[in-house]
Amino acid sequence: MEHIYLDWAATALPDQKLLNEALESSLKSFANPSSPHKSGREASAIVGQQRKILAGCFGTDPRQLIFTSGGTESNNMVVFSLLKKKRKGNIIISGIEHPSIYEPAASLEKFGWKVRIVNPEPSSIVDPEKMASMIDEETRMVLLIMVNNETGAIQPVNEIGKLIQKSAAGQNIHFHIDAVQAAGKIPLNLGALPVHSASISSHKFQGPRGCGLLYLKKPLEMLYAGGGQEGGLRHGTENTFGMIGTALAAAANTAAIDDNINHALGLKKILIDRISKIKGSLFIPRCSTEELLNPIMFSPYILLASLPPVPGEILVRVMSDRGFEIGTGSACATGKKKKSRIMDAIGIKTHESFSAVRISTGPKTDMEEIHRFCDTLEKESTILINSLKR
Amino acid sequence: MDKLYLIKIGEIALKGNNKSFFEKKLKKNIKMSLKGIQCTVFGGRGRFFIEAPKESSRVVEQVLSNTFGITGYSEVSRIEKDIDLIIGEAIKLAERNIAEGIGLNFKVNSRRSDKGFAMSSYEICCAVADAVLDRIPGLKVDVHNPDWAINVEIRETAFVYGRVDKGPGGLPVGCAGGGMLLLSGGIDSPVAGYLMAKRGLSIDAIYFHTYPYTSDEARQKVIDLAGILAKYTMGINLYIIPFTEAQLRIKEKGLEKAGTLLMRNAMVRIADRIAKGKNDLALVTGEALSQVASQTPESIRYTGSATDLPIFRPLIGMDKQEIINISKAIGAYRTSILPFDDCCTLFAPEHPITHPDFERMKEEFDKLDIEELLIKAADNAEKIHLSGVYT
Repeated sequence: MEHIYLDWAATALPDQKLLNEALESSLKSFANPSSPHKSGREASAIVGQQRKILAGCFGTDPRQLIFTSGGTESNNMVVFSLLKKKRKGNIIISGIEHPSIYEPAASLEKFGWKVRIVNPEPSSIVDPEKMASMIDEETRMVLLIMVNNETGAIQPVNEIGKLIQKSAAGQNIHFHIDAVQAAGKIPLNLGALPVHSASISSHKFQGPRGCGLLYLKKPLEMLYAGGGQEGGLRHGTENTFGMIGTALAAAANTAAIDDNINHALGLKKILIDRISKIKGSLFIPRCSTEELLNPIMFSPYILLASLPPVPGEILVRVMSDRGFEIGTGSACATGKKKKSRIMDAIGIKTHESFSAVRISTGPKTDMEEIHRFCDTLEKESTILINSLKR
Repeated sequence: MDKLYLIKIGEIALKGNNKSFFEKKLKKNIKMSLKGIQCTVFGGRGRFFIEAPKESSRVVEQVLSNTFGITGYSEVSRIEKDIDLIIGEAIKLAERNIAEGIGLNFKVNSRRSDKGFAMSSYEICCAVADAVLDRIPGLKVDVHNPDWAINVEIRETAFVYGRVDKGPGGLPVGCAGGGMLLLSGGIDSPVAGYLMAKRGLSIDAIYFHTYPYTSDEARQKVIDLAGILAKYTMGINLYIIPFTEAQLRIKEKGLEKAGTLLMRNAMVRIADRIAKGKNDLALVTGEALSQVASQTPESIRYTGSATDLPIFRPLIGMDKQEIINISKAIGAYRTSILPFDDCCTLFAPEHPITHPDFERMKEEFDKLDIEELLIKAADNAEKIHLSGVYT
């Protein structure tokens, strides 16, 4: 049976060659980088090299990069750093944040913080003015997902960052971006962006699972204490394998980023052309083809399609049984058509979000696979749509 | 070394001429659950014994705790009918109880079915209690509220035992014939199957799978539930029905607001066909009155009309919490609440009928022209056997 993987936004297909290389290097430099002996110093130098490589990839100073276990930890670290602040206030997030921002933010409310949520426009892109208008003297932090994991919408981070700086309380506001779906996929020059911190996850760009980065323009006071690794901001013996793998994957993907984007846009165009021919199909958000294919507005790697009345979950199941792996937009819950929080935030009708499936590609996806996927999707969705007609 | 257990039976002991039928069934069931373990089950006339290797005691005790027809069991010492030996065992038992710290007040129970034994029951009790009191200072006899008891039985040989653990009661599975349980992945139906097995019904189960609208995880969940239930029912044959075509026909041609009722009626028809094919005497469902729209008296009348077999609904008068308590006690709850539900939203009406008109429903069902599809679904059932053997 076929096995075509189109769920790269969930996790990228690992690059085996690169991971083997990382494993081999990490086994050579096996020592604890904090150990003062020769092997330890060598391992420490290796860690330093990886940080430099990654700083080059993301336009930062090496000292501004903290290795973490991934995007979720990086996001949590930033949100919960607020608990160290003496004066409570409010934070602003968008309505389409990943759970690793949304959930910690929600739990901050239990500690007396206020969370303000700004919903994006129907395009799932946040209006910078609208976000900036939520800022007041009590605002301590603004958090925003740079590339949304469901719709692929790219947020105007630059514009929002500048508006924050311009606001009366701007100097005291920390602006954090969740760059998990951006890093290694679209240009990401963190040093040039008006942000104070950013989260990156290695496995989204073919690096190893369990490793990520937190970019911190200036150190933040964190909750944890320990052995003092990572500049005293993230403690625990360094994951040398993860760090080397992350650097290798970031370097490889950054070098190929323009080609990868063009390749992905070509695949996305075919997907849009062919899926739009299936009767009743639509794309979320409801933007024009030109907009969906505009790499400034939407990630070239992500397409959210909906084929009502077929539930997304059913389509994913059927396609999986035919050898094509895609993601769901929202899950079918017990007895209820449960909407996704993100679909809700952009005002998508229940039956449309209920039927959403996410197709996400990567550098290894080829055109032939996309055509075969579309052939099967056309066939199976037609059967399902017809069988569900009354 | 072997351990010997005394098995107490409850309701079976009250049976008249059929008593030996029930007793044989119970013996057979215990042996079947312990297939693969070298053990012997013997006795009769209200008392059974099982002798099994010590290393199998965990499994044996599980079986005795879960086998319907057993009200209690206890590990026993079997000795010669000699009062000194009996006293010796009683003292060992008392010393163990003291070491476990279960209290200082005790009593001695004695039964003597061998009337040839020199001492009466009362004399045995006194002799044993005196000896124990002499040996272990600080103990007190309390015949009304003892912390523990020493039990002595004089039969063809003498038995001494202490704590009696509870069995599940009920009647041996199979003594009431066979029934077909409509098993979903929810909380109720496994409990219904358990309760009917408790009354002696041998249980098989039927599950309606609507792939791709139901996931394989949901199917596996039902298989797992049947596996849990099988340990109480001496095994289960699970029939998995390919129900998609029938379900789609109901969606296509059925009255929208009656969708669930038409579906349940179709399910009962299939269950009826399979049950009769294997000479089952009844259907079993997990319905509880007024729990959902399809469980009002009118709805139950309509869905029940699809079969002439009796439908046993042991949960009919129970609250949800009572059902959940049993589900937890039998170890099904954690599986039942796993989130692999049917994608039923597609087929569940927004506003289902709660008080269907019986004649109107019959007309609506006829419009489906579904009989052939139901026969096909029943005939294409996949049968999976879940073992009731403990390992």
